Amino acid sequence: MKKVLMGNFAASHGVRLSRAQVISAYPITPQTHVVEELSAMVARGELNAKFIKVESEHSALACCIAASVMGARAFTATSSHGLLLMHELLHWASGGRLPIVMVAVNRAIAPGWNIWNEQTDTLSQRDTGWIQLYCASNQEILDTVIQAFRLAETVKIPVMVIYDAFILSHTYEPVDIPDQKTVDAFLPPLKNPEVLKVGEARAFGSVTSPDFHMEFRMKLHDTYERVPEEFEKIEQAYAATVGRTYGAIEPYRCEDAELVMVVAGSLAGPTKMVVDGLRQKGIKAGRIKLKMFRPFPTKPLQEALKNAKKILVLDRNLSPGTGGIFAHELRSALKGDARPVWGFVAGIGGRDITPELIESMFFDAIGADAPVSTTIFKGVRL
Amino acid sequence: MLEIRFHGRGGQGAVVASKMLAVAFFKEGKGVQSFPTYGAERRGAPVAAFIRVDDGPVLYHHNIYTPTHVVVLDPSLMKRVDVTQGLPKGGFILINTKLHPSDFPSLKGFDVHVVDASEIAIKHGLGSKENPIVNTAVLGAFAKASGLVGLKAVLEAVKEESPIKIKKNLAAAEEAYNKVE
Amino acid sequence: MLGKLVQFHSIEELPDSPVTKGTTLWNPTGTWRSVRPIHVSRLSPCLLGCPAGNPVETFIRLIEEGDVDGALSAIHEENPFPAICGRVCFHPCEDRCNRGSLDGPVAIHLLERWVADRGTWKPVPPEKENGKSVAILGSGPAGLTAAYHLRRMGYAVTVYEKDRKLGGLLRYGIPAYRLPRKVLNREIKNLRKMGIVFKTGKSLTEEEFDARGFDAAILCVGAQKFRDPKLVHQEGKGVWQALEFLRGVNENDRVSLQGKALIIGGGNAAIDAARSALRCGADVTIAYRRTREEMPAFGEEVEAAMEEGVNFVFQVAPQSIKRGSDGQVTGVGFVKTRPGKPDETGRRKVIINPHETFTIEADQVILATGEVPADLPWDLEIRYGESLCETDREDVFVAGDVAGRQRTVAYAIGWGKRAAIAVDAYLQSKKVNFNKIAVPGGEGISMRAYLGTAQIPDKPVVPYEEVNTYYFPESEAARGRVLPKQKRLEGFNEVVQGLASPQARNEAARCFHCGDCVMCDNCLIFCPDVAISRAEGKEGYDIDLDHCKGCGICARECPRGAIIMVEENI
Repeated sequence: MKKVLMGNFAASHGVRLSRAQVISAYPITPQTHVVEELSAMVARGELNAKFIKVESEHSALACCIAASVMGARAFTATSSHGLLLMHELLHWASGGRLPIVMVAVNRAIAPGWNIWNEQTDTLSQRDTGWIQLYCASNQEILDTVIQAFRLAETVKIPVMVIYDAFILSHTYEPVDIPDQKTVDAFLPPLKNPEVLKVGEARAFGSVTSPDFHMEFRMKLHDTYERVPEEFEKIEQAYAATVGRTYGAIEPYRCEDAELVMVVAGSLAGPTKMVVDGLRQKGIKAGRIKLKMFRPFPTKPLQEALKNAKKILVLDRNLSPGTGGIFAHELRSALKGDARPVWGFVAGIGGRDITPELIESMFFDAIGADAPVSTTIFKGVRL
Repeated sequence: MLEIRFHGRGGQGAVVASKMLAVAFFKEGKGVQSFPTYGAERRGAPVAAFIRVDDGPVLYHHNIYTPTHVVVLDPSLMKRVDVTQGLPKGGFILINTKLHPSDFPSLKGFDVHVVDASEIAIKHGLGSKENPIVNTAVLGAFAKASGLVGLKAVLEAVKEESPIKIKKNLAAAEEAYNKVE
Repeated sequence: MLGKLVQFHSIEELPDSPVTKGTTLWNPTGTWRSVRPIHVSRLSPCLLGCPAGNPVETFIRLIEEGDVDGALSAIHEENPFPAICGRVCFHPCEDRCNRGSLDGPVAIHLLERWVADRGTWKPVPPEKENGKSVAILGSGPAGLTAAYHLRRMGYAVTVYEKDRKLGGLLRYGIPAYRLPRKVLNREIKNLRKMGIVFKTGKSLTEEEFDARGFDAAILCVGAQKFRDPKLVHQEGKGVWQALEFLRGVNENDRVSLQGKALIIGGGNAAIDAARSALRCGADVTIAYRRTREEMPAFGEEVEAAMEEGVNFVFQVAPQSIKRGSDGQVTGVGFVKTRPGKPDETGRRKVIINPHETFTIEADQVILATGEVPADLPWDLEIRYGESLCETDREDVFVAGDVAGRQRTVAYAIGWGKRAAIAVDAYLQSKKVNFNKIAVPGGEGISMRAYLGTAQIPDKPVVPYEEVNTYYFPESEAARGRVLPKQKRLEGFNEVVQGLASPQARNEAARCFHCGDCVMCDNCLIFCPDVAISRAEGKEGYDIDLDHCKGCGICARECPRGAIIMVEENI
């Protein structure tokens, strides 16, 4: 069934179709709709789940961890400062190998108080051990939530489903909502043999001495190596049942492109339009949409970029002193590569990124052999 | 690609109107996108809502600076807000008012349409006399005046998206469709 | 340190997440222990304070558990008169209560009164008569208490009371506005139902005692001998002794007084006389030789008297009664006094200034200058032995004010119990270790300890510092509603009202239960080794000594000092 849905409601439907059993969250703009709608679904009996109200995001994730430790499929949603408050527990969830799924709506971090879009909140959680998947449309949000549960439960690593504040969260777009039967065929009920059981002597979070701790960390790292492959299988299964697929990265017109721009999130759409426009002008442009950020899809990126002469990264985030975080990661992934990489930073704190601004980045790169600086701010009022 | 801008006051239903209109276009097989001005939405404050309509999926995600169509739910806003901002000469404006297009000399050169949506809304018991909910009536008028979307699709959208008083909203949309100038 | 290392042959064998699949029982942390916790029963300060030996903590706990009848029975093990004590006792238990150091002592007297007024307790004759008989002279609180306990033990008890009605000081000394007669009669009636024989308007001579074949006697004739101040012109109309006056009021319900009444003295009898005189219509002044702070009367009573309108004159000593030509009293001549050096008891002497004289006008004078123990009715001497009840005749004992030092109802009740124990020990040839049945450091004595049904804790009293007040949010002590002044002066209606049930339950919940485990589970919750568990099939806790490492957290977190750490024997 196709409906015109807000991005946040697309996420709610994804969670409903995934039959989450425990939902715990604390409201924060621009995420609040997600759990508001879920609580209504639970109240209306459309979703058989326990909705736990809490007094902070820290507690929200703690509830999800407890639920997951007891074998329940758990979900939470947050944004910005709420995500930062969860930081400690993000580690608990991944170190505990708990397949929790979270929606994180990208919002800027204070000060100054700003509810608008920026990706620094989720990117600053990159070392917590959570898989990160960025979405470019409301349809992708719904599909990714469902895929995220299966991915998390397959590799026993929690997954963050991420999208841009307002640009997707509050924007209505047509979304195809699959029926429950189809999703059930794709996503079986959660089974985790290692969970705690009432009446059995088991404990979570007890001491792991130097004799063991390193092995657990190594095991988590090794599992990460398997994630791209598992994700691909899950995408194939999803395509077979629901009929859509996204890929860890989505290259567009990259085969013969001399200039390739790498972006994540809702910028995927406008950059595609800009590439088409540039192609009409005879410029060999391409773009790569990055869906998966953790683990970083190094090999597919290297492959997709192999013919590019100039690489552009558009970051809607900032690591002060380092620059755009995607650019930084990409440079690291390309290692000794001699090709120039333009790191553009734009759209911080909800600043609009227009097609003209994107186009100007391509022209910057066309007009020079190398970037004037590692980080180039675009659309800044000077 | 159509880019439509709604002007209203917080609480008048501009956001819901833009969503309903998006649904109506979607029902006719178009690619649509609808979004409000992001940020604080206070009751009574001037607000704007936007729609993009295209033959295929809409991929752009930036703000609308040069609308092709403008809809004004509350004419009193026109004192404070330049509703024609970015609208090219000859562009479409639909205003909820008792006045005639010729009563708006500042809009000379634009394709001005009027409908007394407030009266229609009050007549059908939508909102209060002081604060009528005009969005469904305005959509009916938009369908006729713009010729871009059929009344049937608009009525279907109103039916699906009205939280309450569905019949009254349908009647208001239809009446406005027939009365718009 | 961590026991045997778990062996994994490959990383695949290692579970994905650090979930412990098993218990920590393999790790005998008990071997680290140098001290161990034990749950103990310790003395609570309230028990030390009660001369009657009331099981304060126990009955409050039963209130908390909702067992009002059980609470009343618990008191009855030690004290036959909770309704009376709850009203007239000046609650030294509360002076000792640890909660007093926080936000006001638990209102124990009001709880005792509430239990007595709300609970049911059935007086029954003893299951088995032991064939021995005891005569008791005097039906004041000491005599009645001795009778009660002896009857419970199976003795045939006869109480001789020379007055028309039973109760002694309780009836003739304490005004009805403090102890309504209905309450007094109710508790005395209980004794009758137990089969105690009362002979009122009668006394018993030593010869009669010998002739009638009693096995023992207890003389509880009180302290009614007037301490005469021997004022000039004291003899004649218009001058009363306080006890005489109170007896008159209490026998006749009220006497009519007109004009000014002057009470001389500063003890409880002076206040009782003053407040009674007020109710009989007089304008009342109390004159006392020393300062307000030095008054032996209980503070609450002095305050109530002031509230009701009694005037006080301090540091004056009476010299003479002034009489008119018709012999009517017109006033009392006084000299002023000042405090001198403390005597050997620490009390300051009164120094009289003979040059500063003055007169206070009065129409009646009531002399509340004190009483001394009555003469024993028989030709005997008191010979204090271990029980403090002995005389030079081995089958005759004394109890109450006649033998007493402190003269209060609670002391008399405690003393009556002592005498009952002394008589039983004598008649059953039992050796009694008074150290085991008296509260160490306190005033009371325990009948349950004597009978072997309970033990007095032998561990030291819990000081306030050992109470973990973190667990007791501050709360105000309950107070009984007080009759408005105007209503009080209309007659002898009871001034202080009892607690309502919700109030009583809240008040009981304020009790710290010093030194008594109430199974709050705090030790169990806090034990980091999960070594404490509820004992199966009985009250209390089991401590798994294989895993208790002696960290002492349980003792520190115990809200009431009921866990102590003792050194391990090595």
